[in-house]
Amino acid sequence: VTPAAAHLIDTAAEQPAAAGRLRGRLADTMKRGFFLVFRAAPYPTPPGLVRIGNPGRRAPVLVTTNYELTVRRVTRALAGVDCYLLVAPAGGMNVWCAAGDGRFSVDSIVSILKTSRVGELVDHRRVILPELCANGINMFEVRRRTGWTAVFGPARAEDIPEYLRRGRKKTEAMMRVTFTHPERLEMAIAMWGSLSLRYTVFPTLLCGWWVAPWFLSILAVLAAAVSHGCFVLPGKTFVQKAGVVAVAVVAALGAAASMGALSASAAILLSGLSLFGAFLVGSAFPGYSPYWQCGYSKVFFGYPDLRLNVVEEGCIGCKLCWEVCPVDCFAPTDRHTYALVNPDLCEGCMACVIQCPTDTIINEVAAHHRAETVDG
Amino acid sequence: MPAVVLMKAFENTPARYDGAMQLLTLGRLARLRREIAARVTADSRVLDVGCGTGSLAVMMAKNGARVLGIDTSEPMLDVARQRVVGEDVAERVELRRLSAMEIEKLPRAAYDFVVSTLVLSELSDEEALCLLTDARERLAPGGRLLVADEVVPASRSRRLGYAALRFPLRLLTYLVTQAQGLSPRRRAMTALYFAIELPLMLLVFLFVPPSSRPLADIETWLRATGFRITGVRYYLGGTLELVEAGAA
Repeated sequence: VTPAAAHLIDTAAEQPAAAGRLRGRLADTMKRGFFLVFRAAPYPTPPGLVRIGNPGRRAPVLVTTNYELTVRRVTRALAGVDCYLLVAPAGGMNVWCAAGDGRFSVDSIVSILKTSRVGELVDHRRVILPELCANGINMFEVRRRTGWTAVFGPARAEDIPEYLRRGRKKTEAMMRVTFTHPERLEMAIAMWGSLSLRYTVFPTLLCGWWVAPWFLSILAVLAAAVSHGCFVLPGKTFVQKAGVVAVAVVAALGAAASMGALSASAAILLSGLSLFGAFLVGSAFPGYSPYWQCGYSKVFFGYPDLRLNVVEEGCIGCKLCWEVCPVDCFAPTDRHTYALVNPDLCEGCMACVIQCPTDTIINEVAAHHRAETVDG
Repeated sequence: MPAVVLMKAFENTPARYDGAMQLLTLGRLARLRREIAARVTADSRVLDVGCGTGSLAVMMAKNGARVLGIDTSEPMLDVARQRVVGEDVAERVELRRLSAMEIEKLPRAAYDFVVSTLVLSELSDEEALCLLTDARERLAPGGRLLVADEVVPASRSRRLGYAALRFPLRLLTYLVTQAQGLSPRRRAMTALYFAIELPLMLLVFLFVPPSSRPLADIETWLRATGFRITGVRYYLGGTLELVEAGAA
């Protein structure tokens, strides 16, 4: 039995012997490689308290979820900052997804504040939440249920040191998500891994094993091209954009066939697979981006995820919606209120709906379905 | 009984939860609840941690106890509220949305019984120890803790059989849970979705630790948190354990 207070993850853990270290590093590298490709799968680490640097009684207390990659990256971003990091139980998923899924909730915060006993280590009662959990954790509810004041820190962990240096003030850039090329590459690999796992079986069953490496390569080309070219490729929808790339792949296959490097029947079959792959990548890509709605709800449930309605009379100008919006949907008006000025940018995270203290921002779809349920 | 793990699948559909659980535990869950309700004396004050759909709370209230039932799931509490009204015990049962980590907010030494069924197995070790410590502080002098949970059976042969049964049941539970929430109106789309997602679901299933696990040793936990064990009973081949304990 471990007493609750002993549950402290120490950043400077004991170093194992050289042989064990090598084996450990090899296993670690393999595991990381696996989770780079299959990032859609959760990867839990034990929840607990991480002491970073040499935190004192006034050190900031930050929160993240128990996803291995998240913990690793947040810890790295916090190097050189004296603080406590609470790794909250959230099913081993990243902050944004876990909060949207309900696994990273106020209950997680309640649990980690209690089990970590961080209250005995600091004199203040202020906890900094990652901004991207705003789609699942209402900051007023945290205050009401734990007595700790919750504030939303920056959207990205890399901005935390600068945010703390500025006296817990965020610039507007710190409130918004980014989608840089390295980030797109990561997402392209994750999308490739998950699509490969799901769909390679179908062409393989139809045509035999030889087609699998071709299909995987075509998917890789499509995933990379659509992710990196998401803003520049022609086309209105992502299926169209992926289609443009598929046409280029088909042309390359045609050229290879005309040079005799490929049989005509193989070229035709692979062209068909390219178009199938374009459909898959085009449909999946928005879900692997921080900017676009995935749109699956409409396909599988028959209605969209959300339709936001902002009733301006109720707005008290608290700025929360503008602060937690990871894109750039809200802007101040000249009447000291905030308005939904860029509804097209909305990627459907619902953070504004959940945070709005006066319930001025309403998801009309949810309201409609609630009414339907109540009516029977 | 490994079937206890299947209850996860029914937590999302509270209305069906009780019937399914009854079936899966071969009626033993009802027997266990009756046993707990019988031990709760009339006019006593009871705290039911993780009351779920309120079946146990209603039984205890019918025996004359005044029950405070707490749970984190609002849909389960909705079912419990309807049940309490339907069984005409509304004046003796209070229901609140409160997590097991928040019972320290309730008055100290204010309950004659603290009851908790199938809750500890869903908590982490740290959470379970916090809950037990707080539960002991909520007990009035002479008060009793009644916990029932899924446990690893003591004999080796039973442990093996148990492990062999639990895995497929966990898998089935996981898949049933995944299928829930999909629209019943779009059956074809749902079937297609399921066929396509199956490999990824299996991957996730293999890598993610189960949301509940059988407890290795409730009794050691209880002693570590200041309890003295006064009674132990097993159900379902030693896989469901009911422990009665008082403050040491």
